[in-house]
Amino acid sequence: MKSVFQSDYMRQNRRKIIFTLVLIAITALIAVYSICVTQYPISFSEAWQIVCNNLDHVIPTEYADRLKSYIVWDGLVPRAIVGILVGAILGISGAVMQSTIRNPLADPYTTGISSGALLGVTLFVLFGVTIVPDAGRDAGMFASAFVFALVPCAIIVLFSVFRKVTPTAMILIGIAVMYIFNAVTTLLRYTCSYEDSATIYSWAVGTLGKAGWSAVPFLLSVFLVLLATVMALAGSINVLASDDQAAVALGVNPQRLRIGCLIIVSLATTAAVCYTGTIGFVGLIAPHIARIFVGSNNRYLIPSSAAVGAFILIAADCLARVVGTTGVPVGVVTALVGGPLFLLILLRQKKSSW
Amino acid sequence: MKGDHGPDSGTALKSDYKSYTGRKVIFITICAVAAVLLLGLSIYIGGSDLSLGRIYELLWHHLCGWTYQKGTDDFLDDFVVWNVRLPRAIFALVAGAGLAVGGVVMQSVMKNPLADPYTTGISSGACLGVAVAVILGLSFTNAGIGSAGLVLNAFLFAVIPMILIIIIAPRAGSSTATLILAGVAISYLFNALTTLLMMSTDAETLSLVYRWQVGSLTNVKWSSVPLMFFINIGGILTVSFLAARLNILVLGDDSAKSLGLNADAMRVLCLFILSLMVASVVSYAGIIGFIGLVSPHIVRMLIDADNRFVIPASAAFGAVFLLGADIIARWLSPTDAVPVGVVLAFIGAPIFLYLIIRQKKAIW
Repeated sequence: MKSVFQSDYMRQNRRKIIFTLVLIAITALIAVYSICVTQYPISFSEAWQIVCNNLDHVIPTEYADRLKSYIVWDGLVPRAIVGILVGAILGISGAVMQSTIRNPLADPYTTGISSGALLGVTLFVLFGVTIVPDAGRDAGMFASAFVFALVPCAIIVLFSVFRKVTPTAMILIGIAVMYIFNAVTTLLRYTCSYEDSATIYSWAVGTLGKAGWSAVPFLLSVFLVLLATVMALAGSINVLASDDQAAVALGVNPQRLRIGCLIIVSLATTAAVCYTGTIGFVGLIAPHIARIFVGSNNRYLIPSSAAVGAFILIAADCLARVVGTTGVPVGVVTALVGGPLFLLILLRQKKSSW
Repeated sequence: MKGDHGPDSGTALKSDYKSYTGRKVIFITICAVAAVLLLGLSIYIGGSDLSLGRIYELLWHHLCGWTYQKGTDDFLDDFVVWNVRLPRAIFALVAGAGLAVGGVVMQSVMKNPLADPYTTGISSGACLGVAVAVILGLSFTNAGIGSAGLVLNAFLFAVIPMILIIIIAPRAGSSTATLILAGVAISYLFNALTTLLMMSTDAETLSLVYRWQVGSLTNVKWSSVPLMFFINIGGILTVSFLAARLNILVLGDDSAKSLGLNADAMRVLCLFILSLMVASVVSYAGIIGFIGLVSPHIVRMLIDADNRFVIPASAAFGAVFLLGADIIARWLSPTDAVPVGVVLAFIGAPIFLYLIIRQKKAIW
């Protein structure tokens, strides 16, 4: 009997791994193809050649070729990589957040990261408030967004360390801080000029277009550290998902683990947000889609959430580029295509994973 | 509470219970008295100088049917009090109560403390309606800020997510997580459409839609009051009547079934009532956030999680909260430069934080 169960279990696990691997393969294919998805007439073979040339450090002589090289190598290639990394980071963060907080509504921004980052950007745009003096415009904005994004999380951690609070209370603290921050942002935007308001708005919507090669090493290391830490903790997070008493009985300190996960996830998400603006929806639905296919075991859920997140973001970004030459924000496409799709998957599922 | 087993533990429990009930009654009474006082204060604050006594006098005289000669000081005072400030104050009271009760109902139906009246996408629907009216110019009548065309558009579009959710609800089965996620997906969908419209417009129109989104009571007139008033008062009364059944719903679908309650039908009914209430508020006043999420929590922390008390207490608290915030917003800036949502967050969030940290037992 035991061997039957065992082989059954192994087969199920194999299916989960295959799901994740297939998704990674599809994502990689789309990412490779995405280097020729642009409003300029560049064929795929041409784009591929440009990438090979750049890897070989061959600099084209003609002006038109140099322009094409610039578009592909400095624009589309880093964009694809950033898309994959940010999608994966948001997917993982969402999965961890939902499991540790035990709430299906949680997403990477639940701790108030988006409101903090937006306030940082608003203060920077309107008053030039900056953390790093004499940095350029982009670096100043980045630093300001980064620091302010972490303030709500810091407040949650501070309260959780000194008082014993339930996971829900932790989130409610984050929401309270978020509302205060949003109120300040609203007040400032209510009185500022139309142009400043539009600048802030375009940042809030979120896009992959602004991050270049400079973002790649940083985001890559963030992604690897996040994945490694969270995978190492996956077993403990599984225990946490049952309830706190069970966790204590199984030798896990629930509060410490929860706070630890919160900090790691917030740092990673903030890093992503600072380069791309707040891209919503991916971090919320990627774990849910993954959950429907692989179940709630975090050992499988976390990597497949990363794959789903990367897939959604890169596919949506390609679609956005095909549809709108003027630059439809990727968040809009994600919601327009992903929303109905998500509804469909949600209603077709047999049993709930929550 | 600690399980005394002495001979007089029965009476101790009884007096304990009585003191709890007393607390609930006191809470609701305080809120009701505060509402009447704030109503006067709300009319008192503003451009022209009228004493508090004079305001109550004018109100009373108007109710008794006194009329004044056109152009006299009395006529002008009466006009300011009765036609400018009173509708706004009444709107704030009823809207606050409606949003707070909407929050209670949504949190109970969804069994989720993070739910608020807008969880099923009513706000994003209304927002799309306004964006469509302002940016594309598609509405039934002319659409300026506060005009009837805008209100109608907002209301019609706010009802779309409600219809979707009501169609989905029975299919989602007993899983409220599915229902919530469906609501969130619908919100995102509508928000994306709004964003798409807003991307294509100029900065000035963008700012117009943004101002509507923030929510304010500036454009409230007598004409805004009746529809919203009747829907909300009717809704609050119906929901209070259903409170005991809501309590059962929170226990879970299996318990509900064994206690003879059709959980699916109950959910749909609650969502329907709540959506109409919230849509009627949002179409006139824009998206006033925070109050619907936080009022039920504050009430639960102060008194109890029993919906039979939480609903009336939240209604009373929400009414006072919104009216108070509106008074402060007008006091800070007579020209309505401070949106009421901002004041709500600034006052409410610290109180909320304090209560969360101070509370001993977890209610959720």
